[in-house]
Amino acid sequence: MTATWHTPATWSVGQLVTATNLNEQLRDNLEFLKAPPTGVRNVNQASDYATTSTTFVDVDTTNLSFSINTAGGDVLIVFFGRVNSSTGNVYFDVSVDGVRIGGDDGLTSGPSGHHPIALMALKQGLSPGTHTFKLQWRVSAGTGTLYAGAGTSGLDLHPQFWVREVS
Amino acid sequence: MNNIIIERSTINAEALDSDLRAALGAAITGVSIANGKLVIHLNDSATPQQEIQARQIVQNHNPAQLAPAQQAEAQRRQRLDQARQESALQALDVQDYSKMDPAIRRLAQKIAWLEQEIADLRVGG
Repeated sequence: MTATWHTPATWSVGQLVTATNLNEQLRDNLEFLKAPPTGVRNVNQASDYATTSTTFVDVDTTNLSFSINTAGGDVLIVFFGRVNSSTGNVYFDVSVDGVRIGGDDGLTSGPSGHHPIALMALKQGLSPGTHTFKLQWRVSAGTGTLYAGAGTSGLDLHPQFWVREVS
Repeated sequence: MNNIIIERSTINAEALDSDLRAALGAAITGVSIANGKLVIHLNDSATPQQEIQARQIVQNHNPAQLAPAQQAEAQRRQRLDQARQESALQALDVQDYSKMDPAIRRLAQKIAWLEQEIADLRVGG
């Protein structure tokens, strides 16, 4: 469990430093920095993901979505995987508390055919509290496939999606 | 967005999408497969009757039946495979053009060269 972050104190000359002060300012804050709020998903599914949706939809509301409780600030978001699009482009975005970071056509895209997809985004200025991150995608036409460790011959690949508070 | 989730993973997403769009028009934005479940993505404007219709289309869906675009792609692949087999049996011989106009001979040489280059690319040369 991630420690609670405490706003660093400004110390005064002659101030009595209590055990509580030390536990909060040193122990808790160092523990927080060592293990900041993090969510990670290593994908290993029984079947690959697919979509024909032409508007952004969640890739997997269970396994490619999570909530973390942040101290407030910036969160680094990373996703990589291998996709195939039968005819059109395939687009990716990440929603934070229901609002897509990229908007418009998303954070990244790829053309028809097989190709790797990777995105790294910094969501800045989040308030302290629980925030929900979801990987989303859409296609312009045809079917988009995200290989998900489902045993597809030569494409038994395992995407990873993770977020970590970095400030 | 109104999602209908159905416990069914064996589908032909492109064919099902095609059938749903033909029946429901703008009320549907597509289908997805995740966690062994089928998700039908409907607009907020979709009516309860359209939801029922979507479920019926899924129930009657045959994954082996190709969508028109998939049929066209399969036919294109078939024609390409056939052309490759025919070409492999009878490669272009520039000697057949030795008595032709020099411009035709030059063109035949170019085509023969391209044929070999493409064959080389296909085997990863």
